[in-house]
Amino acid sequence: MILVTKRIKPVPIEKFSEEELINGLEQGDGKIITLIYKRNIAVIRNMVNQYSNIILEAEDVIQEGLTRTIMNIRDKKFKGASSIHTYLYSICKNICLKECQKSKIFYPATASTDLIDEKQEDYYDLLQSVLIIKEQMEQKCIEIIDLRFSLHPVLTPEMDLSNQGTAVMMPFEEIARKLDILPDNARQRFKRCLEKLIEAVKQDKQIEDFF
Amino acid sequence: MEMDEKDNDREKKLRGLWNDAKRYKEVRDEVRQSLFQSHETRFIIPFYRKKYFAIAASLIILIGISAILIFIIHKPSSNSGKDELTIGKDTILRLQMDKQEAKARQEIYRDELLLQWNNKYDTISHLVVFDSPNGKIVYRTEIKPAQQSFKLPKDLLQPGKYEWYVGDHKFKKSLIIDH
Repeated sequence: MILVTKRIKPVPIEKFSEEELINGLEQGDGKIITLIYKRNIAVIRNMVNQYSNIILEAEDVIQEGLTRTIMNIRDKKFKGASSIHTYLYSICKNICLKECQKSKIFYPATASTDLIDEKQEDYYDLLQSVLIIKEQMEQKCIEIIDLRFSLHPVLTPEMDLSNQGTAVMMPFEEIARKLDILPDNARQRFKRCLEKLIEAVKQDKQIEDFF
Repeated sequence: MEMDEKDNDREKKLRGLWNDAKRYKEVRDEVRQSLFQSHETRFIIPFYRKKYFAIAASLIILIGISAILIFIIHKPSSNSGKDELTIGKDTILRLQMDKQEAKARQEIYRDELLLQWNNKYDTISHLVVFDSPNGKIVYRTEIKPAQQSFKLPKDLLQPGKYEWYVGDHKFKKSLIIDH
């Protein structure tokens, strides 16, 4: 008996249209993310190698670039002015340039591209700072702030069903029910945790400047 | 009253940041997970390949051990120190030893030949070594951006006069390998 094993052929990225790639990224399709990674990693590696004075791994840069690209697509900030590969490259290049600025290294020949929104890229740095602060907080605080800050749709009788209503913070009664504590305790815990968060944020110059 | 408004505005911004950071982390994890899974799949090797892999690994280990033993046996004595020879702005490092020892240890001598230069190139450049008397190129290799030295491969150059340069022919330097 001859045992025949079928090898699954990888699908080349060229078989996907630009629209399919963008939709795939928007939906977080792992196959599309991997294809875009494989298609671009060599170019990104080459680009990262040019910045010899900064310690950056091409793999980390492209992962961060892909994250920002997906976020921008989901937030409708990617307008389609270039191909998705060029856009990703621009974001990755900007990440490297930012790292150079942090290390006070100036590369005159590598100006940033106008394909990306610089302010939006700065905003991702802020988000990273928030995540660092979050990591240092108690799990109970993270949990209650997550609940309180999560948007809670409120439907009023006047609104038709297609309208999701105004999004407000989750009421303490509902938080209390979810955490199985009293509403007053939920209110106090949130207040205490918010104070800690504000205190931590005040220590971060970048976030404080944002406020 | 004004203070309350300021606090509210701050809390609103903080809420936006907090939620965006949460969303950003979720996307980052999604990307990592996708790439990790693809790497994981790539490294699943069928058993028949593992067998060849084991044989290849054993051979590499055997060759490695032999190379280490050869190196230990032919290790140069400690009194043959390094000499730094400076030509213009460029520097060539080479082992200094008497002629007979040099012949005996020719291979090790060649291992130690290091070319260095001061110019930093932004793009990929080339190191070219050519025979000085007839101008024939004996070795040519790519030099990465910002690279400033290159170790010449073992057994590359026979004793004689050479010239070499990186990038531009105008900056050529001479290189003499004694018998």
